[in-house]
Amino acid sequence: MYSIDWDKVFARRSNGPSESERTGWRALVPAVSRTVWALGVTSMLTDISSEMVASILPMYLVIELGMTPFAFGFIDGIYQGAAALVRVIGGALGDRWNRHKEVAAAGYGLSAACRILLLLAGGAVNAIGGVVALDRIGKGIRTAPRDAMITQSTPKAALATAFGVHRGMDAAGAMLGPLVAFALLAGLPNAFDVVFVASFGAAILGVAAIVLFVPALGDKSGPARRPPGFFPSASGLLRDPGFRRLLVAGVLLSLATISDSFLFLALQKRSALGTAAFPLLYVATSLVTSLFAVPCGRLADRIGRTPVLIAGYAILAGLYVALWATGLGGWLLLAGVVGLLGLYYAATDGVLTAMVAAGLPRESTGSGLAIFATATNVARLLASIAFGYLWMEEGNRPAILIYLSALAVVLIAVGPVLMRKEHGSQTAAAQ
Amino acid sequence: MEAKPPPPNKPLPIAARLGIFAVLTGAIVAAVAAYAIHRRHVAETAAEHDAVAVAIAPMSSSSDFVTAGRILFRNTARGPSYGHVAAVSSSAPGGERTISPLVGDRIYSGGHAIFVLRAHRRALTTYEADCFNADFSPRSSFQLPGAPSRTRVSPDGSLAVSTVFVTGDSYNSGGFSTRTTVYDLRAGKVVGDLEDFAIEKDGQAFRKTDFNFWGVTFGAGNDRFFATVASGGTPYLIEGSIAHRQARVIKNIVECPSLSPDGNRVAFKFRVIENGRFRWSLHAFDLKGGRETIVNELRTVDDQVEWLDESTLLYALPRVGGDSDIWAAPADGTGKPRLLIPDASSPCVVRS
Repeated sequence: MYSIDWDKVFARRSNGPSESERTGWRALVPAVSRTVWALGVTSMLTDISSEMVASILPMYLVIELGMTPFAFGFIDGIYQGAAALVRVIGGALGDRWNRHKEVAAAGYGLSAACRILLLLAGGAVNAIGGVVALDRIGKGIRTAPRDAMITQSTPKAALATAFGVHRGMDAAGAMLGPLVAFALLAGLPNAFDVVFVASFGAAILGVAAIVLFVPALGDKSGPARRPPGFFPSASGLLRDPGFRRLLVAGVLLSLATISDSFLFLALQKRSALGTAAFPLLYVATSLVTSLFAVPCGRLADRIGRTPVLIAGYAILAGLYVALWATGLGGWLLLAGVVGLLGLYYAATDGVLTAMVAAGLPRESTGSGLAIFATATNVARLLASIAFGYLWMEEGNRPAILIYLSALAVVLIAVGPVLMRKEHGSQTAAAQ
Repeated sequence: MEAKPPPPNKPLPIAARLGIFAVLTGAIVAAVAAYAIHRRHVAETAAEHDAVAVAIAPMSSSSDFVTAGRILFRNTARGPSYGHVAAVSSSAPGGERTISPLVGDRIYSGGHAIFVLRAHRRALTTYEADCFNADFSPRSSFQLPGAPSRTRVSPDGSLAVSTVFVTGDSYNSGGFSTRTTVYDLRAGKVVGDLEDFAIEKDGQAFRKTDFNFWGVTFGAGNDRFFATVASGGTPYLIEGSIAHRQARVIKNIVECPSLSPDGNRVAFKFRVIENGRFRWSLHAFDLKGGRETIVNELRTVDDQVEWLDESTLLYALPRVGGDSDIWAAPADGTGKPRLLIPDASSPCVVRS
């Protein structure tokens, strides 16, 4: 009987030819480990699941249940801080137990349960608030251990490619989710329960992918070096000049970032676009990101990560210019903003994470990534609040101009430092 | 704490794991498809006949649909008339209902104009507000930027207002915001968003980036209005003028106001936390004397109430299973709530 030795087929991925040794059609497929592919599948299915629900939630709550979303919006505010805390705990626990897989799977499982709980909650305000909070906690728990697994299963020279594969698949899920939800509702009007059931199914498959295909790295690495505990490891990281430099750079860049919703709102002011088309803008942006995340990651591993990162932020600056200038309008502006925003994400998100991950000691990968993600998220939130205030007080064009100037200053200040350091570390590694 | 030793069991061969994943995928796809087919079958069966519990009267002529003494509402009895604008006589609200051809998610009427907010559930859901004459002929139509929540029409039918919930972002990463827009129904034009109105608090300009407006209610003069503006989690009651595009804060912690027909009292939602659980109770207060009463309704009410007369409030309450009914309760806190119109939401009392 003919049989395929799947173990061999898949094992080749982890210790097969490296990125540069591949030829022919195989050069098109990025050489990343099975863990990265499996986590990509998990993230894609989870994003399909969560974006399906997110895209119909306002319709479901406001029209179908006759609710005012503020009812849980105000309960929700309390959990914003809790989510940041949970993220750090998730990273620290993964390190401490050397069990990133289990911690991440628990986070994915919690969010999967939320899909069905949301349906069971019906119109009960308190229950819906609780489910949204649980979902957020699930997302917080899993992020850092997942990125830690991508880091630990990838050689340092291929980290940007690996994160590119993951972020690309993640974006593909974010693109597909709303499309699946709208297709279901178009075929079965008012059948919100079918959307929730389908979303639950996708989430279960996501959990199955991580449980079945991601090897528990702790098992392989033998007796792990005793992890130092979160606070010693955090203070150790913060004393490390390389980590500190990236943390400061990440926070400064985030502070000059305008959130997507404000960019789309500004776009709407410039073009005759109805706000009903907002979900489509997210879908189109995710499509661009999913197409370019892998090429950007591979480029970053070849020519250096800093140039790609800087190019990504230069693209964002170009987007600000397009929105600020009055010359452009209509479809050209629309396509420009969506294309540039998608490219910016493709060139920065995974690449920056790869830069941070490359410098982290193995036993505190999770904590380091969690600290970095939390700091940049808080910076992004502050930037968004400040932008809203400036928009209100000065109008949207002056507000965009201020952020454009800030971004230019940060890039000029941070770019050369990061370039020099990356070059330095490469020469050091070569010696 | 010690790092736990890894479990000794060896993982299954990859072929077995791929097999499990394939079988699971097939099972889940089949289960979702079966559920969707079952759901479609149920919906089709229900759409063939109107629910027997609700008596439907044939409409003799469209000209008398909007008549003083009637209550208009959204019919939510399962069947072909689901979602249609319907009417009952306020003297026999549980009796036969007349069904109009108009379909909507939120409805209101004033001065013989019917204003309907509606979601068009297509591949890309769009929302619109439509104004109809009393004979159901279309008058004007406006695009809405989000899911419809509240609507009101001024007593003479000259102005209308819509509140919708806008969200561009994933619900996991940010909050909702409202857009409250005023329309001139005579000219068929948008007057403006309340966000662009000048708001005053304690004699000073009041302007916040996190402002959300909702729940407009019109006074008898068709210019004075009350509404809620919220900032930093606190909802304020504002009173203002549409023509002057301004308003001022007159009371704290008031949501979804509704002005009584004589213009003297305001009924509203008041948030309470009891034993760690959140609920909206209904209150009413006197604009002149400030005397406040708590309506004897212990269930949470998430609706902009409607005054049936000077002493009775109407509001929709959801039922387990996704349907809703219209209830009535005395505004002065006495008596008990009673079920007024089953399988109905969005009540509107026709006064002239």
